[in-house]
Amino acid sequence: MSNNSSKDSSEINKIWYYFRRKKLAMAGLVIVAMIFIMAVFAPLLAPHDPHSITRHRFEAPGTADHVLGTDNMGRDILSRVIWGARVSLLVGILASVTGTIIGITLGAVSGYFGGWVDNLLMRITELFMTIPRFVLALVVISFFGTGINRLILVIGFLSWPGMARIVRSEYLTHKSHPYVESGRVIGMSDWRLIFIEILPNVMPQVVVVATLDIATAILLEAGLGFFGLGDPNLVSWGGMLSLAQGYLRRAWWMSVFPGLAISLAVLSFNLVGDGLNEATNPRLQSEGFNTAESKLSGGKT
Amino acid sequence: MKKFKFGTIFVLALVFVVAFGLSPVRAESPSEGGDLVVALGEDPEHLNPALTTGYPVAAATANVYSALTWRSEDGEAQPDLAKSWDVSDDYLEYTFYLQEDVRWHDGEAFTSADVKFSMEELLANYHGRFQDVAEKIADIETPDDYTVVITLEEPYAPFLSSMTVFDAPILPRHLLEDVDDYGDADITTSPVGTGPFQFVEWERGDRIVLERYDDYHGQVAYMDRLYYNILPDTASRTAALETGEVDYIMGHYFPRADIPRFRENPDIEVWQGTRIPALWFAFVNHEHPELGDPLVRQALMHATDRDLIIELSQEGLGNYKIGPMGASFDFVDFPETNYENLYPYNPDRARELLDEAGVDSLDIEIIVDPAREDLMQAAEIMQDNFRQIDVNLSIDTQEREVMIENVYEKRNYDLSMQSFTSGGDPASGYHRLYTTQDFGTPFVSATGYSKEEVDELLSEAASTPDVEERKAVYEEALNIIAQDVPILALYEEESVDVNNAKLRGLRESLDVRDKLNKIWWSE
Amino acid sequence: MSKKGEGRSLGQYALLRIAQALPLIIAIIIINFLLINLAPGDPVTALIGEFPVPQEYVEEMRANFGLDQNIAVRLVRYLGNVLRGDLGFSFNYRVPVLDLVLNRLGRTIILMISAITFASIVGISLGVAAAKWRNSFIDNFAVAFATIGYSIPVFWSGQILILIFAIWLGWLPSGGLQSIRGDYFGWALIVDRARHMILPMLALSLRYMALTTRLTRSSLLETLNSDFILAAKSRGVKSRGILWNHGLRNAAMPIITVVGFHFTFMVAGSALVETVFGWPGIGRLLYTSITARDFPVLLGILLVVSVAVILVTLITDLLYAFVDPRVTYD
Repeated sequence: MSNNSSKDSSEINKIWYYFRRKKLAMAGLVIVAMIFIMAVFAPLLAPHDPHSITRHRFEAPGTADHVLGTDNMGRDILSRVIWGARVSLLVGILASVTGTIIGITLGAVSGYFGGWVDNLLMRITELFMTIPRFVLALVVISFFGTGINRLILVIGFLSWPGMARIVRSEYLTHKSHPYVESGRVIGMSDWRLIFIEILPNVMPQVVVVATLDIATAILLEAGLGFFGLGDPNLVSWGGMLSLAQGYLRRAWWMSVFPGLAISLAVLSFNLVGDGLNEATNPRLQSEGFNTAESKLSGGKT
Repeated sequence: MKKFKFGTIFVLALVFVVAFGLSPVRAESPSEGGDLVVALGEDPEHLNPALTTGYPVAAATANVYSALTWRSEDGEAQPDLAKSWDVSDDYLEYTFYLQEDVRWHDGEAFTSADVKFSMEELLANYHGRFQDVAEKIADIETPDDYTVVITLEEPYAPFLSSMTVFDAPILPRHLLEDVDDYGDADITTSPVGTGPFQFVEWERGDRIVLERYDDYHGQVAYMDRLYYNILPDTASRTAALETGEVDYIMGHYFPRADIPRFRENPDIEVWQGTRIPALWFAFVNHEHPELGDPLVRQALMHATDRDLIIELSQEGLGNYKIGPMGASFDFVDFPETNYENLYPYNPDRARELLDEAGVDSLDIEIIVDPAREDLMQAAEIMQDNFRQIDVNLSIDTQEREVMIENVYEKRNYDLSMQSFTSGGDPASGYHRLYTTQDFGTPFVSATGYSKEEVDELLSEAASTPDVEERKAVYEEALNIIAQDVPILALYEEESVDVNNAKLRGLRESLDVRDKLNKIWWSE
Repeated sequence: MSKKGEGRSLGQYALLRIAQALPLIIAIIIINFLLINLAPGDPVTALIGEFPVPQEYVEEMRANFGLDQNIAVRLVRYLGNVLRGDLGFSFNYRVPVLDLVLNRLGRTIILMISAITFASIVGISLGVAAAKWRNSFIDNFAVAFATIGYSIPVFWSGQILILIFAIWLGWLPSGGLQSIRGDYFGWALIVDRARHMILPMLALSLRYMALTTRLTRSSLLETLNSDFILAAKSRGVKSRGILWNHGLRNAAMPIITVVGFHFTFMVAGSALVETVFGWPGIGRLLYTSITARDFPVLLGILLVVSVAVILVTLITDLLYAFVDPRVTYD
């Protein structure tokens, strides 16, 4: 019988122990937290209304009123960077969640049941991994229209293959473990086994991939925004860079600050994801955590 | 006294000679030779100006083909293929006497048959602007090889100005009369015309090359070759002008944002002015419950800071003190119909009018083509403006023909940001904004505005060639329109033209794209 | 793990993989076609100038492009054409799609190959150095570089490069394929084009350099720590020999896989970079075709690019199988 609850909390504690020891991962976490704060408290933190158009165009950074300068329509760059965090986080997280849900479902079914279902789903996954994601997103969005909802759906939908693969291989491994066998013997249904018994054990890997997916989603959203396919009624970092493209000679600050924001956001989620990956996968403790456990576990990259 | 006088004259003469010698202002005379490199922002889809009114196609072919007339800077019609013409007193019959001894670039002789063929077979069926003119034409006769007589059904004021290479280019009958599909004809990608330059080659996506045609019937070109280089990226385009790789960028392809930088450059000439006026405006759907009320539309005009729009999206170039048909044509410009007098920027007044109309707050959408940066910026400024009066305007980006379908075919929209050219005369380009129009035709009014009185007055204005009479008719019509505010007219464009400072002879034609044969290098 | 020689030969494996790739290609064509034809809007109206055009002309254009027939018929026609090498006719440019795409593809490929090559050379060298001198300054630098470089969006690094090298320092051109006026020939032309390619190539390669560094480093570390290396060391094999013969050989495999895998992502990267630098390749064509609703070209690009990806994957799979003595060809 599995005692999930105590196992879970000790599992989480163990992961947190390893995670805390990685300086880079902690730094990433701090930055993520800061971005969250920026997004949530944007109305309080931003000195100006990010949409407010004024005649003070192209002001260089350094003035008290406009610390990071203004853009071609006199809007305050600092306020726009702060508000831009909302779109990036919203799209990044929701898209990742969407992709995760679809990925888990398909991956679990594929890995657990095997056979023709597995074959079919793997073929479909392969198909979607072949078509370049960004190009497909460009085409779909430019046809069906812009808007933050569509953005989340399209980006999320395009990220399930990666998750599905990982989940599938986890299920392949787990389905022959003793606890699953014994579950079957006592008559648990397949669905219960998939979602209630096995899934919690797979969660650490899922969280790692989901976190890294957030980073990719933020990059994708920025890219789409750069191509002019973001939501025109919202401030987004990608959109700001798209605007900056025409004014590089006149206002370098229109490019530098939003770009820095995107890079930091992506970096921080990547660091956290990497940290989680190492914390849940002792084999990668090449810096000295050379315990017997690490030698015995299968380990993978 | 004699001695003194002689001395004075001698000294004066000396002074003049010295002054003349030292003065940098010398009368220059055109010099032959050299090439001209013009930058285009997009590759034309083909090189047949009879099949489309697209900007790059006309730009690339306006000097390869000719027409009956061309318009000089002041708007007057000048002889081109027609060396002179007669107009009957009732303005119904135009007799054009063609130049004799004109040859097509392939050697064939040009005759009146070419004119008749071009107008009847090609232009009337395919050319958007000529189609309007064609409706008014009753008959085209060619009594001999060098005379064309066009009879109209009713007088059409802009008729003569619609005979330029942009509205009625003449194509060779001998190369097209046996062709089934004009789009596939050789001439559509390798033009053969009667213009000052002949076609050499077209490398798609790269450049179009023309060279001087020495047997041209008019002013033989000074330049040896014309290169139209296609540079879709605005940064590369302007950089090329700075480094001297490109000599001339027409306003249509010059990004406003770079204007200040180029003004400071002594090697570059930045010209600004209005030649063919164009109007920037927002369509309003009169089917919308609130927007159908003229008071609401007046309020929206009060709420829009048109001055700010020009300053931010057009670098200060443009005129917002306009009436429903702009202010460039003086016979449609009246103080009592000027929107700056009637509805100046005043958010408080806007709010008052909305209250009067019984509107508390409003949620509307404006459709904009995202490829048009100027329209997008105007929409953003409007969005910010409207926020002050509790109107929530959200921007809906729709690519060009999605927008065409929604706005023109289905009229499924609230507001839509647009710009229309006047085509050189209000009757050519502006009437279509205020006349009754059916669903379905793109690039005409999509508002649903329909007033019989206005339709009649505008029709009368179109067929009244006498300027003073025309003016009176317009005054009546515009007074009605200015009260109804069927569309939100924002501003009329002021264009720029940017070129190497050593060039001379540019912009002698009303439309800067043609008559490039008059350009020469001063050094 | 069975030894080489058992099961199929490399050649048979190759044929098998090709056979597996074909249904994939067909599926891609069908998806693209359905997708694009279900989208709203009508490409014919995009071709009309700014003035209203007679209805008969519109109908004529529609018939010309076969848009007046039903969707199933068009799909079958399209499939047949593709297999014969005819990808249709561009609405916008009025040339065969294949010609248009192939013409631009060349420029994109030059960019991508230079970027991949540059990224691989720098990335692998850095990764090897990092693994060799563990915990040194080089190692730390490599790790930092790898993590940061992977997080910077391609289009931003492009803009920064323009700001620094083209605007501020003025050393390199800010975009375009080549200088316009100069009719350079031979060597001068190559140099001119190369100058224009440096910045876009750098921008494009940053991310993959970072990834390659990280992968090389971790892959080498893993191999170097593994048991059979320890065994080799204990036998007295010199460390240099270990690094090159055993270590790198084993580490090569994931690297090859990654290079192939990232070809897919480089397509996205190059679309963005081409836009920033005005590089006239497939990426720019994609952008203008989206704006113009040029369906045949969009289909053409998606198809060509997906096929390219399949080919590259195929090649890397075969390379992988060739290099790794442990893999069977089932």
